[in-house]
Amino acid sequence: METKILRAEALVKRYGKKEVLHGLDVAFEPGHIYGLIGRNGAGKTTLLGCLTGQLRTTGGMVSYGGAPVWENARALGEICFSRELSPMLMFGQNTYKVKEYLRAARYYYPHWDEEYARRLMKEFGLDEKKRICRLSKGMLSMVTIVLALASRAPVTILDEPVAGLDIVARERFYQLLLEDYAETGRTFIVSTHILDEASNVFEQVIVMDDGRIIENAPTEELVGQFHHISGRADEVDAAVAGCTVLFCEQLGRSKAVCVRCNDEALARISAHDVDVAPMNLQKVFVALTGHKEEDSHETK
Amino acid sequence: MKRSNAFVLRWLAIQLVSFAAVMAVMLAAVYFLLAPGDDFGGGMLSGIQSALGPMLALMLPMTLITGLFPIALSFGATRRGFFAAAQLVKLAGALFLPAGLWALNALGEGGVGFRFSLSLCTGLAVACMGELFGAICLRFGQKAMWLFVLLCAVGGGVLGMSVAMAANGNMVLAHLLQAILRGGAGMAVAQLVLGAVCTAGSWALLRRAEA
Repeated sequence: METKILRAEALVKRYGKKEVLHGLDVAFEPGHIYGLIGRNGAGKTTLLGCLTGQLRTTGGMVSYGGAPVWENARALGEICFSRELSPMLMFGQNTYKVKEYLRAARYYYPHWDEEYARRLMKEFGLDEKKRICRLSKGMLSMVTIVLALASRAPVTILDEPVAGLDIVARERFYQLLLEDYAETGRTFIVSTHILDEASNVFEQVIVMDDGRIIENAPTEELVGQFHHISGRADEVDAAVAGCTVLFCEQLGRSKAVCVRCNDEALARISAHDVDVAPMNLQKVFVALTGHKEEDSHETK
Repeated sequence: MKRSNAFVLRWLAIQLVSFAAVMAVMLAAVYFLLAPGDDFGGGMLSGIQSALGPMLALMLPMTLITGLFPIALSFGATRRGFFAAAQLVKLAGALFLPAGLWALNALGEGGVGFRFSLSLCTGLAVACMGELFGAICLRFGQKAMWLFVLLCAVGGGVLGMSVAMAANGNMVLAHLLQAILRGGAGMAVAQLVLGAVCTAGSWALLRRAEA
């Protein structure tokens, strides 16, 4: 498959006077599974909308294979943006049937796999004759997953694909994603809030906060930089001196901090009488985005 | 552009078949419920047939833009491609007006002479207005929709008034309607210019539409 990079350069997006994306630079290399994570209002869906030509950019450029994405039928035929279906349309309920969405996908996705779509519909227990307005939140998510996976688009973007799914369905989705990736090697970009399960799937994670990309790194590499240090307050303070502390919690004489440090600093910390624990992606995400700036500081 | 054409044309075919079926049922109901040669029934048939043509011309592109365009956009359709396909829909909708009037004359329920070409221009103008309304509704939401409902009510009232006035011997509005359908080249050009302006307005709104 020809290698094409989906790239945003100096991307700016404003809604009226409010700027929601501030000069983003990001590139999605082919053949990886990316996780796009951020708090509500961070700009994830806006970024994805700009990447797929569904939102106009205020500044900067979005390109695919070197060509602009905006109004580019060839590029858009290779990018699938699957987002939550709405049970409401402009003038009332969305009375389109599931099969009509599948039919639309057949028209617009040149690589559409009808047989795979039918298999997924059967696996999820979806009735194609049901109207969108009659589907539960979980079923709506299942339809978006079917559309995304069966599109076989070289770049497939899923925005909150597991919203409303129970844990069994979520696990199955990640299995399907990995199976599809192993079979096709295509690029997936998944935006999600549920990080516990997703972290095992993402090769690269992009963290957004307030319209900016604050981290863009391989998942293991990013998570490996963060550690939870706890113990007596004076020991902890001594141990983490010189490290970037993202947040700290103190209860009496006990203190717990989250630090970002390299292996050398970690070895130095471990030499002190403190407990060092790894952090998972969810905790790293909370540490990066869940605390105000005054909690984050570099200790001297 | 080809993908949008295929998607839109399929939708158009379903709409036209559905409309034709509904129209046939409605006309048959009126025809068989009323006594043959009944003046009131004949007038009702004429009214229904005369109204359905412009109604389809107006509603077809409008529902295309408000209902199908957002979905197509979410699937990666280009605005340009979809807009090009929408022009085919407008033409199909516009043809219903002269087709309806021709059917009226063929059934002997005429009384409104018409020129096919001029009534096609009228249909095109109405279709372009429908497309523009759809684009405005897409841009401004339900407020625009209520404005459209109000305009339809006013338009329907004017048509009804025309019929009532004609029944009372006052042919002012009836003559105006006839002028629109039977007027000369000037009327045709005016309608085409109106249609072009509306189409330009639609594109100005749709090219900036966001999903």
